[in-house]
Amino acid sequence: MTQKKRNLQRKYISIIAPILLIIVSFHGLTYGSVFISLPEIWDVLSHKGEPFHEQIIMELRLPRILIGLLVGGCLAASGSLLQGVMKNPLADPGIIGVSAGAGLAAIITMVILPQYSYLLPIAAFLGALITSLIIYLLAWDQGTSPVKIILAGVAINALLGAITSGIMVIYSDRVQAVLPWLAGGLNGRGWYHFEFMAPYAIISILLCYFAIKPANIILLGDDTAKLLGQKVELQRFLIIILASLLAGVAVSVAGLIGFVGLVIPHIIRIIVGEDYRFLLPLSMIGGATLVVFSDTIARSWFDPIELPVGILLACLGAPFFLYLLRRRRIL
Amino acid sequence: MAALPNSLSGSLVELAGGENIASDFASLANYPQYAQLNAERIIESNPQFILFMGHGDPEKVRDGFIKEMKQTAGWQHLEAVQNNHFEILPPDLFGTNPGTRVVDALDYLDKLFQEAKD
Amino acid sequence: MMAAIQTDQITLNLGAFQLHDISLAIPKGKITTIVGPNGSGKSTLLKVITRLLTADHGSVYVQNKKTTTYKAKEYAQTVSMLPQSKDHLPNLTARELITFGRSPYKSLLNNQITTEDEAIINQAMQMTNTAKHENRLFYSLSGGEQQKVRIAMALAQKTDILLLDEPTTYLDMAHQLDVMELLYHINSKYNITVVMVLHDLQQAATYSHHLIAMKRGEVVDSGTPKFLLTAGFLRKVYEINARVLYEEDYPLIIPKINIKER
Repeated sequence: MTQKKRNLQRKYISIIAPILLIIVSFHGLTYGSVFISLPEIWDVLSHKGEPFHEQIIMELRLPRILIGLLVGGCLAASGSLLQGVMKNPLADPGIIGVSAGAGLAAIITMVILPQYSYLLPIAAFLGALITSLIIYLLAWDQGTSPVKIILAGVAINALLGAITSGIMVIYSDRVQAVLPWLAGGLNGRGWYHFEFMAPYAIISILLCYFAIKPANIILLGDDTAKLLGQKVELQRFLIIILASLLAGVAVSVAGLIGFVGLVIPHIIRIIVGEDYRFLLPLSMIGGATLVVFSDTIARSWFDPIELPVGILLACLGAPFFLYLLRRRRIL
Repeated sequence: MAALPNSLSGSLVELAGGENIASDFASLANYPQYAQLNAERIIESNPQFILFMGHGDPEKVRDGFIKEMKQTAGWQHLEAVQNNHFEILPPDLFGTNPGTRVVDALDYLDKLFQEAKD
Repeated sequence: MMAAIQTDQITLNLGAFQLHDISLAIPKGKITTIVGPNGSGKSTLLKVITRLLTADHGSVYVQNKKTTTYKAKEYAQTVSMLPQSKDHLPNLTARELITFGRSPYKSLLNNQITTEDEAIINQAMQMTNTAKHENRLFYSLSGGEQQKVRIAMALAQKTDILLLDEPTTYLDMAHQLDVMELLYHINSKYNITVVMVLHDLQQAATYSHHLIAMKRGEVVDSGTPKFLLTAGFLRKVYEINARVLYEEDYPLIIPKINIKER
């Protein structure tokens, strides 16, 4: 790729991506069990709509789309940061234990302590963060390296996965309730969930601005970055915590959604290059678009059943990786 | 997650004289017992009664369930919620197969529906 | 003569990499090359000087200050290094990479590239003759040009001292000479202290003012190339039998070989 081509692609996608996002959002507002046309949506927004439409749009679809945007944006941002800081183009928020931690916390809350099931988002969020911290501390030995973090992550993921499975086996009669959450979806997510996640999500997204420069320098290599006077260990730690916050917020509300954090940054990187000034914001937009669009499909195509969006996204994952295999250059 | 008419609980409801909103949907006829119903369809159907199958002591779990219901999108508009027509079903009769006590389960539902009619 | 860098009894034991009681001085404003057989600790020493590794005992003084007293960015404004490890650089344009050389002067709140920065970047490109590749992506350049871009990035740090760990090892002959001439020129025109590790003894002797020979983690000899480069030196440090000739000031090391008559 030449610099000219890269710059051109950056220009194009900076225009196309936000437009796609807006289209996909309106698509989500109009489609569902009931098709609500754009003029009817306008009526609702100006308080002149049918009560049934108003319920659907204002209580169900609007918050759900907003949540989908935040979830997709946070997961993609998390994945893109991790891929740089862990020097692994196939890194994904699961690597730092976010999914395993949130999953275990969710299982414990829903299955063992059902009287507290309304605390699920908080429990999942804390589970995600605490697990990331544990993994980081385990990997610490006068500093860390991506390899050590990955190893610690594998160990903890295995452990938490085993405990989670164990609980599911012991309480097998109660497992029904947890499965949709584990599959990842936005069913029933409304204003309550949006209000829960919005402050954390927005703060985390704003913090991403400060991660751009350090993340770019870390791309040069640990040694080179240190020779440029960067406190690489500290920066890596902070970026991992930020990635964990971003993913934790998303997973706490949407359950275990995979694929977005791994694939969206990968695709965007192929188009715009590794520079986080472009990679990060465009990944966020890409992730948001993907999740909202997939969720709309997941809740409309199989009416009256809702498919958890995590399953749909996982189905998209397989062909994508096969495509990557066929490419000459994996990156 | 909703229990369909062909599940044990769903079947009991129909025997007790209730109508499962899921039975409105022809495509679900052959679906295995439980399904994630689209929230929009639930609101559209506007059930008069919501029965929760929990797995703890109903008394303890009730508060938690109420809080969770408030969180769930759109549910505060449901007639059942506004009229307080929801019930946490005892897990020993409805959570797992009650065996010979299935008659007790039916009685429970019957009593519930009778009280609601008044 | 002022020493740009001084080490005092540096000792480090990392198993494979060891340094025993290294005390030396690097003359200011000159080109010093560290030579020696594989595993003698040359790269390790550079890493200790640049604080990528920490010694078990001993201290390093740069411009008469202990290196432990420098803050991270401050040190990066004093000493720059081209590591040997081909840290996989991202595929950015030459100019974008060289711009990273200004990082030690940027902070969280003051992170914009100023016109002054641009001027320094331009100068670095001029010094290395890489301005013509300004907008070309790094991996589209030849090995030699890539090396010069990396040197330009180090020069953009505007340090008084430049360290290079085997800067010519992966280059073909033409590019090797290119880089050596460049370093010589940078040193003579801008008075930058250059310290490098080289494998090619002939190159080292030609382009350096001062040589330091290491073997098995110790300094075994130091001095001017003319003074150092003798058959005895080669036997002591490299354990080879060879004689040294000079052809127009360029040293030729002629080893004794054992090839039978064909």
